[in-house]
Amino acid sequence: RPGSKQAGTPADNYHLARRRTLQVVVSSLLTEAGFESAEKAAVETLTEMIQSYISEIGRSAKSYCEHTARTQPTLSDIVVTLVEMGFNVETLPAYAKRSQRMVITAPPVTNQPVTPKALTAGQNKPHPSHIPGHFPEFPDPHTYIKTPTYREPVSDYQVLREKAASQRRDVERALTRFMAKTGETQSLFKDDVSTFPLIAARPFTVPYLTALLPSELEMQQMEETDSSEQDDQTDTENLPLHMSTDDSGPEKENTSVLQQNTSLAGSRNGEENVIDNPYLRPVKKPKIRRKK
Amino acid sequence: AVPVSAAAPPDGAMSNGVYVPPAANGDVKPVVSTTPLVDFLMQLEDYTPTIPDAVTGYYLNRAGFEASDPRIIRLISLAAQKFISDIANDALQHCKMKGTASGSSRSKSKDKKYTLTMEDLTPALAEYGINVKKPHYFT
Repeated sequence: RPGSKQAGTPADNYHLARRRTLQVVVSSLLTEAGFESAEKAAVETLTEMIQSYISEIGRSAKSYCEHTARTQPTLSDIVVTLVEMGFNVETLPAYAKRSQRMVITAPPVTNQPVTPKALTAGQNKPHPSHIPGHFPEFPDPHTYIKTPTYREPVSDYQVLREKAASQRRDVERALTRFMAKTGETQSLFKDDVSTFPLIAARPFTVPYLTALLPSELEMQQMEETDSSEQDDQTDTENLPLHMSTDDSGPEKENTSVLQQNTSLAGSRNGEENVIDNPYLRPVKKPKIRRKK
Repeated sequence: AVPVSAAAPPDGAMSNGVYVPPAANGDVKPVVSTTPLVDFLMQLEDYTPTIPDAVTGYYLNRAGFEASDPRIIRLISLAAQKFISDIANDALQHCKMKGTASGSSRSKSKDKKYTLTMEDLTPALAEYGINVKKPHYFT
C-alpha cells in the first residue's frame, strides 16, 4: 500500500510512480479551484479518494457489463455506474469545456528487466497456444532439459575387432619391452645394443629336462589321487616309470628333484587346505586302474 | 429514430416510448433521453484530461476493467477529476465562509491565498457522506 516504505521491486516502483502522478493531478485541480497551498494530509486524503474512485468505477462498470452477459464494457455501463455512484452525468460536458485546463505528463515507462544476452543460453521454448502472450517467457532450456554426459560406446563389429587386436598387440609389446628392460638382454646387432633388445635365453644344462619331468601340479595331483585311494601300487608303479624314461646320466638329479617335488607337494597340500582357489586346483585326471 | 407508440395510455404521459409518471412536485422531473454522452464521447478525441491515460488505465486494469476504447478511459478520468474538483470547490466555499464570517473589513478583500486544511475538507466531505477523522498529533 502506498504511504509506507516499500522494498522497491519494479511493481512497487510502478505503483508509486502512478500514485505520485495522481498527487500531482490533485494538486493541479486544487490550484484550478483557487487554492494556493494545501495541507499534506488534505492532499493525501484527496489522492486516496481519487484512486479509490477510479478503481470503484472500473469494478462497478465491469460488474454491470458482466451482469448483461458481456465481457467488453461499453459507455452505457459506465453511465449506469456513474449514476449509481451519485454522479450527475449531465454536468460532465460542461465541466470538460471549462477554461483553465492543465495537462500532466504521463509517468515514464520503465521496461521490465531483461536478462542480458550474454547470460541467455539456448533458445527459449515458445508459448503453447493456451498461454496468453503477456505471460513471462519460459526459462532457458538448460534449466529443465537433462542430457546424459556419457557417449554411447561404439558397438560396430569391425571397429571392436580392430580395437581388440590393436590392444592385444600393444599389451604384448609392452610386456616384452618390460621384460627386456628388467632382465638380461641379447642384441642382434654388434654395436647397437638398445634398439632391438631381445630377451636373453637362459640355457639349461639339461634342456629337455623340463619336458620330461612332470610339472608341480601334476605331482600334486598324483599325490592326491594316491592318498585318496590309498593304493601303494600306483605309487610304486609311477616311480619306476619315470625312472625308466630318463637317461642314465641325470638319474641322481632326477630322484633328488623328485624328492624335492614330493616334499614341496606335501607342503603344497597343506597350503591348499587354507587357500581353496578353484583356478589353482590341480587338474583332476581320471583314475587309471591297472591290474597287476 | 425513436419509435412513438400509436395509442397513448390512459393515464401518464408517454415520451419516446417510455412511460413517464406525472411529476408530483414540479421541480424534479425524470429526464428521458437516449444514451447520454454519446456525442460528448466523440468530442473527447481532441480533448486530453488532466489525468494521463496511462495512470487511469493502470487503476482500471487493477480493478479488472479492460477498456476497448481509449475515449472511455478519458471519460472516466474526467468524471474522477470533476468529483475531486467539486469537493475542492466546496472546501473553498467553507474556507471563504470562515474567513469572512467574522465580519472583517470590506475594504480589503480576503487575501487571495487560500490554504486547504483538514478543517475545511472535513465538512465538505461530510456532505458527500465521507467521514474522515485524522488523529491529533502529539508533539
